[in-house]
Amino acid sequence: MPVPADERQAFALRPEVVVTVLDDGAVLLDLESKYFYELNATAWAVTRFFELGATAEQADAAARAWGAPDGAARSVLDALAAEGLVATTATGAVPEVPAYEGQWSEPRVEKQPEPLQRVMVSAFDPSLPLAE
Amino acid sequence: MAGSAYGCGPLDVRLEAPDAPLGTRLKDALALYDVAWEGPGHRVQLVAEVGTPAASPAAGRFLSLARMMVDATTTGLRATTVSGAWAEGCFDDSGEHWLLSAPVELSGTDLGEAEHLLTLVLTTGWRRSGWVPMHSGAVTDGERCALVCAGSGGGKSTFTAALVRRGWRTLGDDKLLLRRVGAEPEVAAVLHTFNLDPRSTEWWPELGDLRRLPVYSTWTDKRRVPASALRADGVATVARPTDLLLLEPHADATETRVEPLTREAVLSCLMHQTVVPDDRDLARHIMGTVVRVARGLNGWRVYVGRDAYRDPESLAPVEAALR
Repeated sequence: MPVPADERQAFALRPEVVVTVLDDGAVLLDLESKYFYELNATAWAVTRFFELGATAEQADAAARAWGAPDGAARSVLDALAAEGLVATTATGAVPEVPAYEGQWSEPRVEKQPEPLQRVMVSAFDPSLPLAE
Repeated sequence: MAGSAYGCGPLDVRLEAPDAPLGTRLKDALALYDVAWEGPGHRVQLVAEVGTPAASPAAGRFLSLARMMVDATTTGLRATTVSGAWAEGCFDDSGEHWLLSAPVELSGTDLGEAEHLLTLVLTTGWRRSGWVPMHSGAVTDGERCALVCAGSGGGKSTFTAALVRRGWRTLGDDKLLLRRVGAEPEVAAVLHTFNLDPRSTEWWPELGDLRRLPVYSTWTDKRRVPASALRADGVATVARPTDLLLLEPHADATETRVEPLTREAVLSCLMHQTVVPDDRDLARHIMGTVVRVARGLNGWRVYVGRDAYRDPESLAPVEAALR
C-alpha cells in the first residue's frame, strides 16, 4: 500500500498488528499476514506516533526535535505502509509520544523472512500439516 | 458416564465421558500428562458425549487447523472438525467448562479428531493460567537449560534422548510450558513420555524392541517410551531456559557441527514453536512472553550428522557450546 503524497493524511497501525515493546525497540506481528517485524529503537520511537494516528508531517516534525534528519519519520511510515501495517485514519492532534532520548541512528524495520503458519497440525503443534 | 480427574500441568481437568471408544481415547490422552504439579490447579470441566454432528462448521476465525476450525464466541470458543465432532467452551473466573461431542459413527482415524479437540481444551487452559505452550523439547544440567527445536519429524525426540543418555535431564521431547516470572523465563514439564522412532534401538539396544509397543497414531511409526527408560534420574520438572538448539539433520555428513544463531534467527525459531491464535489479547500475551524470552537465549544451529547417535561423543560439540 503506497503512502499517498498528501502529507496531511493520517495513518495508524491496523488493529490486526500486535506490538511487543522491548528495551531497544519492538516486535510487530501482523495477525493477518502472519509476518513479524523487528524495529530498532528509533523506528519504534517513530512508530509510536502511528499507534494512535498521525501524519508523516506531524511525526517528522517531532522526530526532528529529537535530532532526527529530515524525512526520518517519513521513511519509517513508508516502510510500515509498504508492508500494509498501517491504514489511513482521521487526522487529529499530534499524539503525545515520549521523546526519543538516545543517540539517533537510522530507523530499521526488518521483516522476518518466515511468517507463522496460517494452517497448523493441532492447537499445540504449529507445524505445517502433511498432505493427507 | 464416569467422572475422572487428571492433573495436566497447572490444570485440574475433570472429565465426564462415556465408555469406549470416545471416553477411552480421551482418558488415554489425558493420562499421558504424568508430571505432578503442586498446588490447586486451574479448573477445567470437560463433559464428553456421543451425539449429533455439528450443525454448522466453524469458520476458523480464531484458529485454522488441518482438520479443525475454531471461532471465538461471546463466552469462549467453539470448534468443529471435518468429521462432525465439535466442542464448545464457556470461560469464567472459575475456569473453563467444555462440552465435547463426537458423532456416533466417529471411529478409527477420525476419533483422533476428539484428541484434537482435547488439545484445544488443554492449550486454552494453559494460556488462561499464564503459560505459553511450546512445541519443543528441553534438557538441563541444573545450570544451563536448552530448548530443543526442529520441525515435525526433525529429530527432537532422538536428539533429546541422546543428551539424556549423556547425563542431561529432560523436561520433555515436544511439549513444554513457558512463562516469565518477573523478568525471569521459566519452562516447565507436563509429560515425561518420549515419542521414539523404533530405529532408536539400533543405537540403544537396551531399550528393547520398541516395535513391541503399540503404534499410537496412523501418521507416525513412533512409540511412546517413558523418559525413565533412558535413564532413571533423567527427568526435570522446571528450569530457566538459557539456550536454544535448532536441529538440522545433515545426512551427508558423519560428524555433528554447531554454529551460533543470530538474535533474529533465535526469535524466528522460538516464534515458530508456538501457536498464535487470531486474537489480539492472546497474541499479545504469547508474543510478550516468547519475544522477551528469545532475547535472553543463546542460539545454536546444530547440524546433526547421520552417525550422531552411534557414537555418543559426536554430541560433545553441542555440550561444549552449551557449557
